[in-house]
Parts: sequence; C-alpha cells; structure tokens
Amino acid sequence: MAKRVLIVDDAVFMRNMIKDIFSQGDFEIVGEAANGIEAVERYRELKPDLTTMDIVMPFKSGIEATKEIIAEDANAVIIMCSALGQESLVMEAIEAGAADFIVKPFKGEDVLAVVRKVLGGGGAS
Amino acid sequence: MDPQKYKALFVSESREILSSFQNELLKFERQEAGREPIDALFRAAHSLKGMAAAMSYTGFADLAHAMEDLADHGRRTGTLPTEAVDLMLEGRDRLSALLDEVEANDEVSFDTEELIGRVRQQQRALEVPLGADAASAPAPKSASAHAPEPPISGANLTRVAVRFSPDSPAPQVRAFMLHRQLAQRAEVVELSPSLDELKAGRFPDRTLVLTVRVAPDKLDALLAQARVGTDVEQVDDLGPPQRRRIDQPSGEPEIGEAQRTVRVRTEILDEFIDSVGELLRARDRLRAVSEQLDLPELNEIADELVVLTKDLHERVMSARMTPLSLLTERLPRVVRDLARNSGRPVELSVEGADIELDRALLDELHAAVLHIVRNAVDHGHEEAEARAAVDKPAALSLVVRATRDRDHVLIEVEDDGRGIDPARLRARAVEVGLLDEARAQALSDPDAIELICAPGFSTAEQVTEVSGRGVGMDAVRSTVERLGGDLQIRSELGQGTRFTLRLPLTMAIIGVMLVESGDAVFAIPTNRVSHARDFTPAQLTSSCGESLVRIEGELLPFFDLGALLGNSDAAGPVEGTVVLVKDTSGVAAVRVDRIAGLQEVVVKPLGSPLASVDFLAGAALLADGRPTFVLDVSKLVRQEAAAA
Repeated sequence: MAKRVLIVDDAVFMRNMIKDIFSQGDFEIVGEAANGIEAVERYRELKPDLTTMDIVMPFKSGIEATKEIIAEDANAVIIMCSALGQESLVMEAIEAGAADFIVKPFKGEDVLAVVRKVLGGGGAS
Repeated sequence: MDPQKYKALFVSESREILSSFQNELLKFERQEAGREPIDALFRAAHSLKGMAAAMSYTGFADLAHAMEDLADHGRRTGTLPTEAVDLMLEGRDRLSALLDEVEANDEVSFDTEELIGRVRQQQRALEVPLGADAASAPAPKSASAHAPEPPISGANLTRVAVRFSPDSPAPQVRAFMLHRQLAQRAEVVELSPSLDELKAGRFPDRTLVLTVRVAPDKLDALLAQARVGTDVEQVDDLGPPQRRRIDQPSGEPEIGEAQRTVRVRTEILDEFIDSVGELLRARDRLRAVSEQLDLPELNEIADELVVLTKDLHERVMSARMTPLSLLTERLPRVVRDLARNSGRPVELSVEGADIELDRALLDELHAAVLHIVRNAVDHGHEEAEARAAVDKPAALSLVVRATRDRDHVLIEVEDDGRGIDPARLRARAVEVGLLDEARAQALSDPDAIELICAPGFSTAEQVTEVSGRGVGMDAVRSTVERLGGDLQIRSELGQGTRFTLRLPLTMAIIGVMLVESGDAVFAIPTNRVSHARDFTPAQLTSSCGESLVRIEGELLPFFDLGALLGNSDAAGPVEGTVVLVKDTSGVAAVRVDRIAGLQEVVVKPLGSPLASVDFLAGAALLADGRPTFVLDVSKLVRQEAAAA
C-alpha cells in the first residue's frame, strides 16, 4: 500500500519539488502545510505515514511542530528538511523524536534513500 | 528531476518573498513591530537560499546566504547599522534583478561575488566586538582529543573511533544520531566530542570516539545496527559548517484561520474581464431576440441569464480588487533612498493602505504616485535652516493617505514643505511661451499652480529650481485622467502642498456617451460631459484665430470632431449637436452629428501606433459588437488651448 505523506514547507517551490520526488515511488501525498501551526493540524487530521518538515517557517517553526506532533503521537515518522548551518536545530528535532533529516539542496535519490531507511527500519529511534 | 521546469515557480515565489523584504527591513531599522520584521527577513533570505540552491543558482544562493547571516546578526543583537541595512537593500535589489535575468534567459551568470564579499565583510565587522568573548574563550580541551586515554576501566569496555564521510553535509548530526542509537542499546560511558560540543558544531576530523560498555564480540553487531544509514550520505555539498545555534522564530502573531488562496496571474483576470464582457454582449443579444420572439420560456432564461451574468461580473471585478498596500509598501524604500541621497530627513506616513482598487488601476497609478512623492522630497523639502526658522520639524512630513468616497478612492500626497509659488509659475509660463504676460497675470493662484501639469512646462534646468515640480506632472495628470479620475493640487506657500488623485474604484467598465460624426461612433466618458446643446453655425465666432462658440451667453473653445478626424466639410461645420466637455482646466464644445446614446463599456488601452494619437484615450466594444474609440477629453481641451 502506498505510504501516505504530509509535506510541510513554507515555499510552494519546495513543496512541489518534494512532491515530485515522492512521485517516483509508491507514495501518496495526502496533504501539505505551509507553517508549523498548519503542520500540527494537518498531521492530527491525516495521520500520515511520513511527514517531511521544513525548519524555518512562519508562525511556528518546524522544531516546535515536530515536538507537538511527537508529543501527541510517539510513532510519528518525521524527516526534517534542513539547510547547512542548522545542525543544532536538527539535533534538537532528533532529540524530540524526528526520525531523520535531509539537507537542502537535496537530490531525489538521497531523499528516497532516507525515506526507505526510516520506513523500513520501523520509524523513529 | 529537471530544475528548469521549476523556473517559473522559482521566479514568482522568489519575487513574492522579496516583495515584502524591504519593508520588513525598514520596519526593523525603525525598530517597529518588535522581532517580527527581522525574523521575517531571516526566513525570507533563508527560503531564497534554499530555493536557489535547489535550482543550482549558486551565485544567487550564496548572496541570499550572506544576507541570511547578516539578518541572523540582526536577530541576535536586535539591531543593524545603517550600512548593513544599505547592503541588505542592495542585496535585495540585486536578487530582484537576477530574477529578471533568470526569467528572461536560460543561462545566467550570477555575478554576485563582489557584493557577497561586502556583505560578508560587513558581517565580520559586526561580529568582532560582539563575538570577541566567544572567539577568545578556550575551546573545551577534550574537543580535539582524537584518542584520549581511556578514562574508565572495567569489564567489557570497548573504545571505537568512528569517522564520518567527508561527503556528509552534517556529520555532527550523523554522529549525534549514532550516539543516540548506540545509547539505546548499550551504555556509552565516554564520548568525544561530547553531545554539547556536537550541538555547538565542534566535530574535529569528523571523528567520534566512543567508549561503550559492551562485550567486544557484540560491538560489531551493535554498531552495524546503529550505523544503518548514518554513514550513507547524500548531497554533494561539503564544508564543515560552523554556525552558531539559530534560535527559532518566536512571538508569532495569531494565524487565525488559514487563508486558502491560489495565485492567479493578473493577465488571467484581464482575460476574465474580457470574457465576461463578451458574455454580457451575448446576453444582451439573446435578450433582444427573446423579446422579439416573445416566448415565455426563453424570456425566463434570458432574465435568469441577466441575473447570473451580473453576479459573475461583480465577482470577477471583486477578484481584481487589490489593496493599495501593493503600491504603498514600495514607498518607504523610495523615501528612504531619497532622504539618504538628499541628506534631508523625511517622515513618511501611510494611511488607508487597506483600501482596495482594481489591480489594473494600481499598476497604472504606481508611477504617478512615485513621481509625486519624489517631487515632494526633491523640490518641496526646504533647507534645514529654513525649516528651523519657521519652527517646522527637521524631517519633511510626507503623508500618503487613501480614503473611500462612494465609488471613488481619493489618494492624497501631502507634504509640509515650501509649497508651490504661483508667481514663479506665472513667470515660468511666460518664459517658455505658454502664456503671454497678460494672460499669465490674469490667472488665479490655484489656476497658476495647475500650470505645473501643462505639457512642456517643465525643463531640465527647472529641476534644480524652487518651483521645479513640473517635471512629468503632465504625464501624471494624463494617467489619472485616462483612468477616469482627476487630479487636484492645493498649495500654500511656506505651508506645503497636497496632491489629490480622485479615481474610480475600477477602471474596467465606465459609462460613456456615444456620439456620431460621419460614419464613425465615438465614446466620451460621461464623467467628462457637462451637457449637450443644439448647434447651428450661426453660433460660431472667432477670436485671435481661435474658434469659439456662443452658448447661453458664454464663449467656449469650439472644435468639430469631424475636422479633427480629417473629415471637415469645406463649408465649415454644419448643424448638429455640441457636447460640452470639461476637465479641470476648463470647458470646451465638441460638435458632433448626433448623440447616439449612453452605454457602459470596457475600455482597453490602445496599442501602437494608435496610442500616439493624442485625443484618443482607449478603445471599447459596443454592445452590438462594433468597436469604438474613447476620446481623451482633457487632451482635446488642451490641444485647443495650445493651438490658440
């Protein structure tokens, strides 16, 4: 069964790019969110198998959103979409329960490799 | 994936991100609205960096990155000096120009190194005093110890050094994750660098040294489990990042209900208007046919269609409404630059930016409003001593105010500068041969001030003069009038000047009077028509070679629409109708064969070469499908005056 994916990023550009990457595998994009507040709401509503989470977003950061989502659903599988220079934030997210991370600019195959790893490996550590 | 297919989205979204950039920056510089502006700037630069990197626009991404770092400094310290703000603005302008290039060309060389260098230099200069403590603080001593002596002894302690791939873009995070995984399966008694050091970005040689309490033969299996994926590295990029911890945005405003919006190109909205216009005409034809046939059922459908199209029309029009802020948010930057360049401070305030106008109107108005604002600062601003002498504050007060007046909007640009001197304008008008001395002296002060909008009134040398507001004001006036509005100027010497632009909320549909001359039908905007009278040639007279017509005891400039079109009768104008048209500078009489009725039409701008025909304001399709031209009344009136 196709894995259900929620994409969180404040840039439409990035969301489209990530969507394209997922179109290469057995995934279904079930929702998108453009900020941390929407991310938590959409997660609650959709309970996706996988969430990609941007870090720097308006209203609520991806870190805060990750913490809130994990607090509600310890099995949530969240992949942080980070940029160079955000290592400490990524570690904070991982401490909070994020499963893994990718670093922008990313290539499709690398994203899918991380995704396969976290989904295959049973999710968050 | 093919980045080219993302180009259009990249350009449009980057533009959108950049559009608010400079106002946020100026807000931050003025210390308005707390942390939000600088947080927004940081996010903007950060997003641009990520998007450009994904497109492999390295020079663009690097510039955005340098700006992000400068913004980050602003976030941490709560302030940026003027030079840094200048650089941020320069960076913003460069990014904006690069977007134009990206849009227009397939290959763009992003020549940003020099600017990046200056931004980085600025940032370093700022970091020194602040970062001095941190930089000179001794690094924790264990940080660089690749192979410290075993601090702990005991059974089953195993030490391993794990080196991470140089390809890893964030090896310390991978190290952090490895530790985390190991720690869930065994006791990690020693770790170098420590978790805190990893978090702080200290990870020498990408090597993690661990001492784990585990039976030696179990270690490999344990590592294999924990290492799944942690060495698997993606992404080409490199370079051990050494940035400080970035705080998360905080103090966010309420989002309320999420706005569900889609972005639509304005041309699509224009096409909607066209289609709706066509639909209105088709509806009118159906209506006429149904009345002829008098079939009750068809009549009913026609009636329903009338209601539906009216509704559709209103919705499409409302979709085109755009807040004035689209225009006013560009003003702070312009005013800041003007004030910086002239060395004279300006206090800008904008009121009523939430008032909505038709998008097409806004686009046209932009240049006009900028022009008035520029003139106010360039020419209305007195020397500091002059202001001080009359107890005015040092900064020129510049107010841009929008208010609604039924179906019109008033945009006022008001300053408290030196005002316009009517005496100088009169003298100037005589000098350039616009008026003779007697006529100039006969002008009232308000009429003399209106002279600044006369075509050809201003010259380059005047720019530096006190009364040099004339530059391009005629263009401002004709823009406003073409949009179906008018321009008023009030000025008190020594007190200031107020320009008032009065505009319809939408330009797309205006009421016109249709007039016929020969075979042709022309349209005159009804807001320009004062009244109409029967005409006979006997009413004609002339003075100084100017044709005048006597109407109800008054002599008015006269011209024949047919003559203007080159169809003049050798015998001179024959009987017909005169339409009295007005603009702010007076009334004129236009002879036509007859008045053909009133109608609402969609006015379209004229393309070349018709656009250069002076007395045409645009074209429109009539309800029966015939095209017509809309007359530019002000031009007619003034052409007549100029010909005199």
